[in-house]
Amino acid sequence: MGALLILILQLLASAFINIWPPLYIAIIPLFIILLPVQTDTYTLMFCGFAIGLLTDALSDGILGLNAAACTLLAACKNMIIRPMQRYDIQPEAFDLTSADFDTRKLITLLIFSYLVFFIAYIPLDSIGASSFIFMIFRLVINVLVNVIIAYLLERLWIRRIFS
Amino acid sequence: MKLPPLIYNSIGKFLLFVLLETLCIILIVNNSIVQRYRIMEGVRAFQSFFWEKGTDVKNYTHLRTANRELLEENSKLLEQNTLLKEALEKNKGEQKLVTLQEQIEKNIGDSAASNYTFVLAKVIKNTLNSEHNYLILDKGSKEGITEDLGVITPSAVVGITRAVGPHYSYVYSFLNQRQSISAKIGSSDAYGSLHWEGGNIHTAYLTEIPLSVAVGKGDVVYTSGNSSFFPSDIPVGKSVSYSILNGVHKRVKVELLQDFSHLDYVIIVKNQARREIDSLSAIKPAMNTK
Repeated sequence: MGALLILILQLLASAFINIWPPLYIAIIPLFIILLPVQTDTYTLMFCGFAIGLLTDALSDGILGLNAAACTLLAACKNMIIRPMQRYDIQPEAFDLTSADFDTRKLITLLIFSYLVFFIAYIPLDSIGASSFIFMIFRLVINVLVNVIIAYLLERLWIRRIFS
Repeated sequence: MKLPPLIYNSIGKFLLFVLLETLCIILIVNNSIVQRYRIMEGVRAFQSFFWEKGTDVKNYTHLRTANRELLEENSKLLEQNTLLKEALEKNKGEQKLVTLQEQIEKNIGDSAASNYTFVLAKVIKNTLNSEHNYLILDKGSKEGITEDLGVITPSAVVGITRAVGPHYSYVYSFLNQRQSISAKIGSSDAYGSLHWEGGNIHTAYLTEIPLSVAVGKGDVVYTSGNSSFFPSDIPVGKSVSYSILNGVHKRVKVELLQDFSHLDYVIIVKNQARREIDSLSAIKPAMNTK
C-alpha cells in the first residue's frame, strides 16, 4: 500500500514538477528507507530494483536509471542505518516511524540515503554531458531539496499512514 | 577450506548487486542514445587499455623470439655485407670494365666467393667475474663448429672458440686477459692490439698506436680484418682517452659498445680460407694476437 502511494506520488512529481531540469524530485528512495530495518539486503535490493524499474517504465525517464540508483541505495541501506541503531533497544523497535527515531537521526539517514541514491543517479543521467564540478553542484542541490521534501513527507504524512 | 557463512553471504550480496546493476546499465544503454554512446565510449576506453596492456605483455613474452629472429637476420646481412665488400674490392683491384652490380650478383650467386659464413649461437653460460672469462655456446661440431673460430655480435668481438663438443662449444671470452684482437681506430687505419685488462667489463685498451696518429674522444674502434678470425670493420668501441706509453706509442682507453652482461645470442664466424692461410703460414700465429 505504502509502495503504491509512494510510486503514485513519484509519478505525479515526475510528470508535473519541473522547476529546473537538473533537479530531480525523488520520492521512491523513501520506500526503501521506510522498509523495516529487519529486511535483509537481498530483499531490499530486489524491492529497490523493482520499484525503480516500475518508476522508469511508467514515467518519461530512461529505463534503468531509477532502478540502478534504487538498487545501490538498497544495497547500502543497512550499512547506513546500522551505526544509528542503539544497542539497548530491540531491532524491531528501531524503525523510521518509531518515536525512538528522532529528527537528528532521521535527517542524517535521509542525507546519506539521498547521497547514495544521487551518486548513482546523477552520473548515469548526465554521463559525459556535464562537467564534474557541475555534477557535484547538482548532487548537493538534489540532496538538499530532496531531504527537505522527504522529511516533510515523512513527518506530515507518511508517519500518520504507517503508525 | 570452508568459508564462514558471513563471507558467503557478503559474496552473495555483492554478486546480486553486480547482477542487478549490470541489468540496469544494459537497460540504460538500450534505451538512451546519449547514455549508450557515453557508456560504450567508456567501455571501449577500458577495453583499449587492457588490449594495449595485453599486447605489451604479449610482445614482451615474444622478445626472446624477436631477438633471435633479428640476430638471424643480422647474421645474414653480415654475410651479404661481406660479399658486397669483397665484390667491391675485386672490382677495384682487377680494374676490369665490369660493373659493380654484376660483380655483386656474381658473388652472391657463388656462395664460395665469400670467405666468411656466419652461424647464430645461443649463449648458455657467460662468466664475467674472473680474469679469464669464458662462454659456452649451444653450437658444436655437429653444426660444423671447429676450434679457433671467431665469435662476434654486430657490435663486438666476443671471443674465439677453444674447445668444441658435439653440441656445445667453449669460447675464450674477449674479457680474458689472455686474449687480444687486432683493431684499428677511426679512419686512420692505424692498427693496434685491443685487449681487456681486467676489472671493468665495459672498458678495454688499444695499445701500440703510433704517436703520429691523432686520437680524438669518441673515435670508433673497429676490427682491422688483419686476422683470419674476424671480418674487418666491426665496430667494437669508442675511444675515451689516451696516454703515451714509454714515449713510444699511444695507449687508448676504449669504452666497449657491447654490454657483455647481456649476451643472449652471438655469431660464430667461419672463415673458409683459414686453413689455407694457416697452411701457408710458416709460423703459427701466437695465441695472444688474433
